[in-house]
Parts: sequence; C-alpha cells; structure tokens
Amino acid sequence: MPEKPGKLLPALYGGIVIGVIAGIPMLNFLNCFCCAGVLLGGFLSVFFFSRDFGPGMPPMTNGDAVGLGALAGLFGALIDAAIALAVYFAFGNVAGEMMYDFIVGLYDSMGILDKIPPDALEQMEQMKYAGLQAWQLLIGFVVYPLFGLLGGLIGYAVFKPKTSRMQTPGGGAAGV
Amino acid sequence: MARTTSRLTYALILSGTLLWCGAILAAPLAAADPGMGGSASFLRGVFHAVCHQAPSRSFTLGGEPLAVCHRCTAIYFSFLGGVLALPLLSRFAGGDRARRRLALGAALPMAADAALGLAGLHEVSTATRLVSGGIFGFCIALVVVPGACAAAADLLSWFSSFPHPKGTIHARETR
Repeated sequence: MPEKPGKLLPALYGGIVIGVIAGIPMLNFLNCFCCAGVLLGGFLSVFFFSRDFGPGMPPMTNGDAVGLGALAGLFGALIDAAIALAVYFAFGNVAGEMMYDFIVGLYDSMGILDKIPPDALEQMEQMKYAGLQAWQLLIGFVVYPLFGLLGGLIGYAVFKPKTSRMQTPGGGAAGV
Repeated sequence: MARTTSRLTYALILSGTLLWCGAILAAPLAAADPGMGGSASFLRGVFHAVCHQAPSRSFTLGGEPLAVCHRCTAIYFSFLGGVLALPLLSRFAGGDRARRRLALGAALPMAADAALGLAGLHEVSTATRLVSGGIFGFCIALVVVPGACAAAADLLSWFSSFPHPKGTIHARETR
C-alpha cells in the first residue's frame, strides 16, 4: 500500500503564505482580522497536502491537518521573523509608523483626535519609535502554530475525504 | 478509549478558550491597577499579534480598553459559546457536507461586512462587527472542536501503533 504524501513541503508553502502576510508592512493588517493570514496559511497547507494524494493511499486524517497547520504556523513564524528583521534593518520601524499613522488617521476621520487623552497619544507615539523587540517575535512562535492549527482544521473540514467520521465529546459522529 | 481522549481534548480546549477570554478581560483590569503595568503591557503585547487594538473600536472595562477590538471580542467569546454549546448541538446529526458548508459560510458575513465597508457600500458599525464576528466564532467552534477531538484520537492511535518493548503494560495486556 503506498504511503501518504510528505507533509513538509505543503506545510512550508503554507508557512510562506503566513510569513509573507505577517512580515510585510501593510499586508500584515490582514492579521488584524483574527489572524486571518495565519488561518489562511494553515488552510492552504491542508489544501496543498490534499492535492498530493494518489489512488490507494490511506486517507487524510484530522491528525494530519493538525500537524500540517501547526507546522505551517511554525514555518510562518520563522519566515515572519526573518522578513521583520530584514525590513527593520533596511528601513527602520516602518510597521510601527504605519500602525501609528493608521490609528491617528482613523481618529482624525472620526473627528475625535482632539478628544484623545494626551498620554494615550504619547503611548502610541512610543510604539512608533520603539525598536523591534525580541519577545514580540517570540510570541509569533506560540500564536502562529495555534492559529495555523485552527486553519488546518478548517481546511480539513473543507478538503477531507468523504468516508471518515469524527468523534465528539457528546458521543457518536459530530454534528451541528 | 477514543471517547476518553475526545473528552480530555474537549476539556483542554475549553480550558484554553476560558484562559484566552480571561486574558482579554484581565488586560484592562491590570492596566487600571498602577502596580500591574508590566502584566498589562505583556498581555496587550500578546494580543497585539492578532488584533489592531484601536481603543476607539474596543469595549472598555474599568475605564481601559479590552485587549482586543469589538470584532475580535465577538469572535473569541462566541467561540467560547460554541465550545460550551457543542455537546448539546452534537446530538443533531450533521454530516460532512453540513460541516463543509459551515466552514465555508462562517466567514462570509464578516468578509462581506469588511469588504462592503471598505468599498463604501455599507456602514460598518459596532453592531455589524459584533454580529458578523459572533457568527464566525460560533460556527468555527462547531467545525474545529470536533476535528481537534478526532485529531487527538488519531494521534493516540498513531502512538499506540509503535511496537512496545517487553514488560510494558501494553505488552502484558496483549500477551
């Protein structure tokens, strides 16, 4: 019986999607929607994996989807850290400046900029001038595999083979 | 055995979700306390990876904004609601096709709200953010949690497929 296709390459493709979305300023605003870029990377890794299956191979399982999503998140965190470091050393804190401009522009368009307490504005300005902090990069190594895993499970619900059944805490096949 | 694993996984997901939602509420409470500024900035830093945290688009608690915006608050708390409701809802049989439709359809209201808002065709308000985010979080919990429970059972069967050395409990049981 032929074995299942390898997971490393589909996870790497998903990780590249996650890393590029998270690492490039402006594009990383997509992650403001509940880590949508990371969910997408986990989802796509399962999609790429499902396309590698040939006849006679054992079917994809939930465990495969979880592993793929988490691995894609891990690759994504690595690629994000590499891109963030490269952008920071080449152009400075572009992401912080963009975030500051975005929030101040939002307040301005709402006409409430003059009502914002000065200490809150000062705090935001500190974010603009703050350097790249190592712990912020490290958080990605925890959060991205978690959200990548969720994306993988969503991908499994969409791309799974039609014969498998799921076990729920209520017992029996899961339903909604 | 599979059912025990499934229940343990469910308990773990429920605990993790409670912790996550608790941290969202804890951040403003810590910020309001002058002695806990470090904890507040750590929690806000963690959630900064997943949310823009604009104070004008966040609920407040004790005069301080929550760690995430309106939409994210709706997503995470409705996800918690979905996790809690799942054992009751799993009694209603829903097949793979229903789950596939749910997974694809869950994001539609949120995507439509954001896209139409950006195009200027619809006014995005706190209410629309809460409703669309709430639908997404609740539906995704119904898709993801059964999958995670099944994944745990898959992983367990994968571990137990390894040959056990002589003298272990498994070896004694199968003798």
